[in-house]
Amino acid sequence: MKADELAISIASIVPVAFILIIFGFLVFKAYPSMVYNGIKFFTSYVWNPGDISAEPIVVRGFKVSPGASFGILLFLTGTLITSAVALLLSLPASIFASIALALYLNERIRAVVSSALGLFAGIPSVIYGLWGVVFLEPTLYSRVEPEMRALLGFIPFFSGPIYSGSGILASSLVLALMVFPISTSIIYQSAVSLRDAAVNDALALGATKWEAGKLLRSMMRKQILGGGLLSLGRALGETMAVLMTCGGAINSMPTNFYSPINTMAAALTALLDSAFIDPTGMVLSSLAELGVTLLLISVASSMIGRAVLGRVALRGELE
Amino acid sequence: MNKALIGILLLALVAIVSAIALTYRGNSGKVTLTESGSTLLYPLFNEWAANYTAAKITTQATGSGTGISEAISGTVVIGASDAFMTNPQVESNPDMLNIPIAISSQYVAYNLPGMNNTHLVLSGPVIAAIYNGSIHYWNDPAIEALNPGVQLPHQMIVPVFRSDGSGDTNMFTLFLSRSDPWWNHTVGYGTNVNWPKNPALHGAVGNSGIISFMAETPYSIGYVAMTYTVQVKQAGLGYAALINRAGNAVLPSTATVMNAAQQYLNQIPADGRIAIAFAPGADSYPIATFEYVIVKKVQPSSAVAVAVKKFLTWAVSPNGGSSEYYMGKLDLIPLPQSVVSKVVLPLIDQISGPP
Repeated sequence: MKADELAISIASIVPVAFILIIFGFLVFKAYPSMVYNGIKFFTSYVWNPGDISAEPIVVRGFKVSPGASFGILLFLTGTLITSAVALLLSLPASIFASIALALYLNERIRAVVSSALGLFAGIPSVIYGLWGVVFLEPTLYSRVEPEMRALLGFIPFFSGPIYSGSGILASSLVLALMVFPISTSIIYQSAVSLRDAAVNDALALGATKWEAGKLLRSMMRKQILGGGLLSLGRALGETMAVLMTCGGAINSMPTNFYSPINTMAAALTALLDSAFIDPTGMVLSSLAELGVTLLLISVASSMIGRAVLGRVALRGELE
Repeated sequence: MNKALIGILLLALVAIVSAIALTYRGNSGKVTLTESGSTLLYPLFNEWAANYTAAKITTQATGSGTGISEAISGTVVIGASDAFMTNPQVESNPDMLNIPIAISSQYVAYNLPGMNNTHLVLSGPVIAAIYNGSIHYWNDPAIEALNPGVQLPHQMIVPVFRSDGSGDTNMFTLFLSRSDPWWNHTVGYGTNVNWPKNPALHGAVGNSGIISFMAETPYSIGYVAMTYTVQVKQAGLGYAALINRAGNAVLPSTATVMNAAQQYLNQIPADGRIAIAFAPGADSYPIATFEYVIVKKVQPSSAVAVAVKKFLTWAVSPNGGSSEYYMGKLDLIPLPQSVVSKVVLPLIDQISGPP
């Protein structure tokens, strides 16, 4: 191998190696928590740092403050619910927008819209969070949530107390807005290429635009799945905008859509400072295990997303 | 066009580099003291850094826990904390000093539309019951009993806590632990605690996060550092008079917090670590705490040791960092002179350079 080839190969390995080192470090840090908390880490929703002023006790070989127990069920639930609702809201909108852009709108509008999508995808998440706090939450609290409860209250998760504007609904809406540009730009690209490849023929054969749209949607199933999974990866790990709007629930599972919630990324950020005060290091270790869990979930979702998209792209080339 | 762009970028680079160079030249020969920690103390350190000339002070609002841990690891010279180090922490780090630097307190604030100019009376046990969800509504008999003649609304109470680890949480939970046996036994105190299982409980990040959440959430209740007086008033929140150990309802003020601190003046141990919540005394406000700087006894160089001793001595001096100019502006209370001479100066004296 020539020197320059060697340099390039090393350069390409370095980032991968770094990610593996970070992962290894997290697992190493998380090990005491895995031993101490066991499976309860995933089945309990109580996060109790224990009495950190008391003399630490030793459990299964690791120092821990008396009374401490760490469970992430609430954070795990929050991450999954807010991401799922966000996707449920944004994905249909993305599909609709992509088909409309590809079939109905003229070239100039299309150019403006697609560059706007790029811009929206680049807005820092704290801006979305700020909008959530300043505008969305008061609106949800005073208008939307009471209306939703009145209309849909017969469905279990839509009834019950409304404490504030922060919570599942606020975080899900902010996330939906944040991932919309990501899924739309992916689905839109494939809508344009498929339109040129196949749908234009259908239009030429006399299909209406409505029928062509339906055809386009059925042809894009995989791209929609791929785009959805990629935006899921983004929603799962989003921290700042969720931290600002989730209501910071702790030690209590949500009772309805208006309840405060907490997610893995938000809890990790919020709980970090007090972890440094814990003399046993067990709080920090449990946060590391939380980090490992979040990392695995988001890596899995984007890997599946890329695999689905990759297969589609490959087949497109072969045909 | 590309050339023009590159030209502009180069000019900007030159400007930035020379600005940095000039800044450093301006401070040449001065020791730099790095500070990190408490967000409550951050505005104070910022003011001090701007006006103190004998050393360059850099400040970072990272949180008390981070401040303590960075001071222990030696990443920073001064860790600022709203809470002193716990016994196990002191045992594993015997070379750290907990030096009281000022006195602080907090409001128990609420947002009761139309009633925020009324100071409700609340007690530790009632606040504990609100946080654990056994008191659900504002017109609960327990709250009405403390506030005869006040027409309270039948609205659900939304309690708020600091979801980031916080010295304010330590102050608040210490008051509840000392005034309510159930709380002491089940929840305890600390910068983060085993919060009760209450679906109405909300978390917010930072004092400003609590204030903005409460401002937009009617019928909420929360705790806010006294250094945020201006923001509490701007947000139009009300705040409570609290029942103290003597059984009297007392409003927070410099005088009533000072009264609380006075009760403990003769009991402060040589290592400076003492909790002054729920103080005895007829007119003592029951939430109060010493603010601390966490500093290594043995500094990496004698120049740093000399500089940090000089700076801390200045910081607690009534003619220096503890003057009305700094303390009044930030609603902090200066340490009484007896505490400075008996406890703080001997602690500062223990700082030295490498042997």
